[in-house]
Amino acid sequence: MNIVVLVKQVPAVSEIEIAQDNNLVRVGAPSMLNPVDKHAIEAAIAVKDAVGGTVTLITMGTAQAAEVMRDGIAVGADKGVLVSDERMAGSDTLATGLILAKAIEKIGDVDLVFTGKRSTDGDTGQIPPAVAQYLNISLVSYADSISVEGSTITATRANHGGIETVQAQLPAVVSVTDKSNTPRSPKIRGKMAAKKAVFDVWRIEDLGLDAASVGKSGSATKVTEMFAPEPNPVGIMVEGNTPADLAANLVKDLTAKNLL
Amino acid sequence: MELKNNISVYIEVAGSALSTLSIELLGKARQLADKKGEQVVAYIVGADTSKAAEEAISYGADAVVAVEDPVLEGYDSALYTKAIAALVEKYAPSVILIGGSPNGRDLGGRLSAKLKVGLVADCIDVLHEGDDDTLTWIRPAFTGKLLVKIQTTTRPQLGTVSDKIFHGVPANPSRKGDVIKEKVDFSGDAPTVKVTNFEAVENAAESLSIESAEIVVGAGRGVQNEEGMKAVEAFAQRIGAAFGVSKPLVDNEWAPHDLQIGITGKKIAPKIYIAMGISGAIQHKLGVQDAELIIAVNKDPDAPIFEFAHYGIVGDLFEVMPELEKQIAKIKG
Repeated sequence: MNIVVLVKQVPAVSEIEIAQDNNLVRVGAPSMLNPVDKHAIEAAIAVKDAVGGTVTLITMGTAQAAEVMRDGIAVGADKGVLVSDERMAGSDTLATGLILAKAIEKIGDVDLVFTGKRSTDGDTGQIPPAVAQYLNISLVSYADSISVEGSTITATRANHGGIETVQAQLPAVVSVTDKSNTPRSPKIRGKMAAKKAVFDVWRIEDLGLDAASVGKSGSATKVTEMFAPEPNPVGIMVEGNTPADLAANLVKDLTAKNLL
Repeated sequence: MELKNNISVYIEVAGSALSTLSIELLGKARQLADKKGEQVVAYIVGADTSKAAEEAISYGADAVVAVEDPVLEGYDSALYTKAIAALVEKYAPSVILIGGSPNGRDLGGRLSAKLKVGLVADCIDVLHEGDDDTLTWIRPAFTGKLLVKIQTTTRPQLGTVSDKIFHGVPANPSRKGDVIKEKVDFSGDAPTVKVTNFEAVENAAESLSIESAEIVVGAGRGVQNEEGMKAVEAFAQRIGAAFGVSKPLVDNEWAPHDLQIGITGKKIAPKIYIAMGISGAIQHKLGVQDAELIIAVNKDPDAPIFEFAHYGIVGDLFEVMPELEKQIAKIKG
């Protein structure tokens, strides 16, 4: 089974701060693997363990973005590809989906593409369907559990106020949730392999793309404004000198107003 | 009726009825169209669309364009995308509003790639700012700390919209509208994705759900670590409240996504919401704004949560929590 996992580097959450001018303060902010991507990697390794095959990680970004692929190598992914090209900067989901689909095509004869259900930073969840469409293959999204048998993948997902079981024919793109499995911890040998791993780096020419189809020119959305909503304080600040006073005064006021 | 350049809504059918989210979108589309003197056209795809078509008109559509075919019995995003793409080619809509449900997001992403047009995901508002048909979509950005305005530079303008943001108009069964059935050639197509089983989840779940509980306690970054979060969870349990968390705690993998309160998690509307150590990023605010009473405890007097909480306590949540519990115990007597 030829398996690909799309992974993404995201800023470590607790480090993101917004400055007064609404600019993102990212200076020196550490980055990490998008948390749910660990479950996508685990899903891929589990399939490989069960039926054999190769797991290739793909990520997109600067040279530094490749570091998150080491987490995948450490638990058994075979190799990683970094798609890196300054002309890709500013790509929206339309352009990003195209770039990732072309990278998957270049790997060739891929049976399964796993992704996390969404990234913590962009938080759109639009890449899995876009990639599935560009590749013209099946899509199973938001999978809470998966199993692969022959050329069929069976998954459960929450939908329409219930749990549905879905069967899809491979090849397929499958996005997974944090419920889908328990990611394994790396062993020492894996950690060594991760440390030593060297990743292929592909530029857009390697994917048969030109500058016009990626980055800002390949995107069809533009941000026109970034803003924080006007503060509109309506509430009551509870007075009190000690936590006990504060709690007592709050409950007193709520009781007086019949809010409890 | 001129059906070109209209405001279209992709209608999602759950069972044989319109999804609540589709009704909300029809309400918003109606508003946008009335301002511009445009028509609202509902796109419905399925094996049998008659009942949904009638409903869509009663909820505000001026016309329905339906693609009916036996291969569309179940939802396969590839085939549904093909159906909608065919309608786009014929009717050249200015905009298609799509529900941000699991299936809606899949359709949106595929449709964007198929038509090579821009898509804005999980919007919380959409409006015409100028005189032309350009829509401005608003969505949270930077893990929900800011809002951004986004426009698409292509047509149709595609956007998925979160649930419980807009309000539908009440059904009016006497509304009239045309229902047009379009044929799309599916010869040689078979679904590659099939739903083989569906189990409805009972509302009365064993543990209190943040979506149905009368009191919800939320934990945020102020809990400092997993242990701190567990202390808040235990507090919630003891006062008979459901427990949820803000996005950073899920991003840190301290809590499952199911417990996330916010625009990309659950939107809640309890009688009382107690936010413990939650700063109140936009993404969270949008998930709790329908709560009848919001009580916030936070160390930082400048935390944004105090801008929308009804009652604010500036203090250490670990000190305030036990005192609050004592007070609650007293009135419960």
